[in-house]
Amino acid sequence: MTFAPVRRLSPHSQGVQPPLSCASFPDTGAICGLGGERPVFHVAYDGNFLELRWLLKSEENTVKLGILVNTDRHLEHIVGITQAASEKGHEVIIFSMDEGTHLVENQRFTDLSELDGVSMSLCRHSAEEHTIDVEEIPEGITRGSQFNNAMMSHEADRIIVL
Amino acid sequence: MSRKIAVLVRERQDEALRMSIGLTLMDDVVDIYVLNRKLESTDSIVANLETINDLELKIYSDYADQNYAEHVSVDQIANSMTDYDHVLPY
Repeated sequence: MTFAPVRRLSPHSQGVQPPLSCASFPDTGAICGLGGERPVFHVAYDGNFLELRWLLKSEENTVKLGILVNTDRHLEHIVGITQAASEKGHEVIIFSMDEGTHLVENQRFTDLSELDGVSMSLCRHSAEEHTIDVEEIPEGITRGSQFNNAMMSHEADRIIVL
Repeated sequence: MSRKIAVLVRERQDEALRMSIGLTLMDDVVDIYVLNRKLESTDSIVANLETINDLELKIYSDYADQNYAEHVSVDQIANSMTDYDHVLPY
């Protein structure tokens, strides 16, 4: 994690009292937010000084979320979760296989590939097994293999299966 | 860094095993848990099991009469889940 230049303050300096909110404050290593917002700075305390290191904008707590789609029963959840994650700046990786490949026939699903930070692929073998016309799949969705699933599992911080 | 992945096999055994094999392509650790049922003996499942055996992947099951898996209790399965980065039910 990258931090902005260090700013050192005494424990009672104005500006480090409330509205800081962090359960473990001022333990070394705490990552705190302001008034319940997402974490914006890192706190270190050596007994004499508080050290605030502001998280750079690009390093705020974004995660890579993987969504393994192996059924066609949860379109609403996939769309909702993906849109919400994209809006918050998280990266979303979607891999479809098995019955989940049927969702590429739905534009609401395929349109997700155009959102910021969203990448989509599917198992071509599964699609062909389920008689999906892979030539009709939008260009933004990779016609791939289980290797794409392996890459998603390797890179994602969290995976949900729908 | 290598990831640890658990695949929980339920109804769609063939696809779950095929996916498990594919998940090894990034050199991650993949363990397979067959939950409360016997693996079927279809041609594709047998072929996948041969590949799984060649890849030396571990298969566990709480179903006692299982030729291909090491028997473990449900409690053991539950306790082991916290060791994994990803748990993929299928």
